Amino acid sequence: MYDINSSSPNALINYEGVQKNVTAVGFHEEGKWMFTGGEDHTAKIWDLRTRSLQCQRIFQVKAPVNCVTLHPNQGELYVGDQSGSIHCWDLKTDVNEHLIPDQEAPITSVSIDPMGTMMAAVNNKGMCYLWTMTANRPGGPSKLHPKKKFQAHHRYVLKCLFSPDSTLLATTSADGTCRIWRTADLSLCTELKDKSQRWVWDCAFSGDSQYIITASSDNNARLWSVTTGEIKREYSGHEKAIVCLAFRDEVVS
Amino acid sequence: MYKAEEKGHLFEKRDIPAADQPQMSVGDISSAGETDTDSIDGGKDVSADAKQSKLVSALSKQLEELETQGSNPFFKYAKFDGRTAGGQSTRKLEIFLAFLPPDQRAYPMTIIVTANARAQEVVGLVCWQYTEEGRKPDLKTVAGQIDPNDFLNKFSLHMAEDNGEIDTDFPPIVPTDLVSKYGLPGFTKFALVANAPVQPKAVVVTITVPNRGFNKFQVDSMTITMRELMDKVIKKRKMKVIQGLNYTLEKAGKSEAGKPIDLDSMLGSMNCLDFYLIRENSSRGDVESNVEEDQKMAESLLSHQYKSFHVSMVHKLRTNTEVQLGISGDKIEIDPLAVKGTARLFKPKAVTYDADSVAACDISEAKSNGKSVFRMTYLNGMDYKHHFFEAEHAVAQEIVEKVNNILELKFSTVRKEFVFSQERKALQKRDSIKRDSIKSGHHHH
Repeated sequence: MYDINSSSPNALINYEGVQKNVTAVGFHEEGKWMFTGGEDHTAKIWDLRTRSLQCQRIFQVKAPVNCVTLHPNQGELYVGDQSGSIHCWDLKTDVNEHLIPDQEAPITSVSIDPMGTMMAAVNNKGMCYLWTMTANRPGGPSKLHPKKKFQAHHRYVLKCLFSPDSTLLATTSADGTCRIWRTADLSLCTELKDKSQRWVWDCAFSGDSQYIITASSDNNARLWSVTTGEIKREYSGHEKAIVCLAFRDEVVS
Repeated sequence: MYKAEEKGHLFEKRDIPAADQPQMSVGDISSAGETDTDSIDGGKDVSADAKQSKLVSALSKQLEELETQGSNPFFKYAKFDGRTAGGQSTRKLEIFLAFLPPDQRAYPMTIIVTANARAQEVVGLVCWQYTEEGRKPDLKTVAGQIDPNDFLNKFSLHMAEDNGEIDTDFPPIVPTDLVSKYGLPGFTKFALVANAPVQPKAVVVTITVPNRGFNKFQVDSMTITMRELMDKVIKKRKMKVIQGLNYTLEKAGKSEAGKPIDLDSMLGSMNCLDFYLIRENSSRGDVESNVEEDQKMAESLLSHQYKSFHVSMVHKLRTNTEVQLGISGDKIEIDPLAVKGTARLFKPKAVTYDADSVAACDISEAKSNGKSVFRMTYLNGMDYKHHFFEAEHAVAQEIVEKVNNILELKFSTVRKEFVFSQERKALQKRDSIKRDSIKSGHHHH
């Protein structure tokens, strides 16, 4: 863990004990704890409130973890793995269950909309699955209701992401595009395409859902207008593929 | 390890505010199905839509503010900016911008470029940084309409001296060369030249000095004044400008003779690139053709004055060549004349001898065809050398007289030594004749 306000290039804390590649990392919205997922078949919780730098909770699955997503209620982790399972892990009760949309297609990304009413998952066959979510009882694990399955792309989908206003769902793919779907009817809103961009690995919406930033294999990140699909900015400087990005925006009015 | 039963309270869930709650009816799940093509029920409600349209994020606001500015068309080259290249090896370069107004040209732009950048990428980075810093004049003014994908032909990068002058000993840097290839890490000065549209075509101006040949000058700008051009000729020819004896220029062409031009006007206003350098109160009329018999004496007396003659230069092993022999109190010039149709193989070079290095000049042979061969002796290093010329007898006579007048008047060291050595020789000769006659006398006796 690095202190971005420090000029030191050295890590502040080095979390030990992970044997294999870490594929996912994220924080509780108030920074209370951190979660990781990795090729060691686990999702882990690192509680920053304790003095110990050891992992406090481990969730074991049967395949390498590809993605971990925190529910906006800050109490459930959704873990997608190489065997095609999505595990729903309720942190308060330790209850878990899992879904297998297609057991031959590893889950590459899972997203839950900021209102906690929808979940989307994508796989390496270009499919996108959508569920609606309801809270079972106050504080209890959410319930998922399968809603829709559709072919979002014809190749690998690498990432799916709901917009902050929950009206849009973006999917990025190995086919060199990012597609933005309307959550209302899953119609295609915009296709973001640039002939040079190759695999599109990651994306992030602006706070008002008007713009989206993509990261791609052509070493560039791009800022697009969601409604027109026009490239507003290109961010160049990386010498190799950009495979992930983090962006934080806020609503000012 | 946590036990959820004990520490579950550490993972309390947050209530998602009802105000944020769904735009979608979550209760209706009956139509869920994998192949279902029906729309997901609900959709956006009008009030949410209205609310959303009012939302503005920090990013959107910033973009809107910058929209008027437009983005930097050279953004592709930003990655060569060494200031943000984290860990890569970089070079600091000083780039003189030759397209700036003269008062700004002396201040180079400092760039830090990654060591992997090629010359064309350095040009791109300079353009990017120049635009990013909002400098004036903008590049469009300097180099015309710029296509960010194909603008490199508009600029060329040169090595520069410390003062920013382009090092003309070297051609422009090859665009695909790595800049790190050039010079040592300390040698980092370059000049960026805009190739279009500011560079006017260079023109060549010819200035003829009557009877003394001509000079050609390449000028970069039509705004040069005629006086500057005249000074160039005077300087080049090392002509002495005597107070009260001024020079002026006339345009070439018969109708322009005797009409001095305004020296303070610009070349561009002349509609002419051919001029004559004329001394004030003089004319460019052909001196040779006006030689009058009664002027002869005066000419000889004024032997220091420049006069030129058309003569043949005699060579030992080949045919004669036509030359113009220019004689003045200071110099003797031999200028080969181009003769049409003759082989250029033996074309002699133009040479000038300082009058002080000339030792003698005399007629060596009077031919039966009315021509005479005369010899000019000069000192070259330690040796006396000769040139032989042939001309009409009268002309040869005049030249010999003129040169001798000059030699008499100047009586230079070379001349002195030559005269003494001649006298010595004559003496030795006389002595040897004496001895011989004495010897032979003895015999006879």
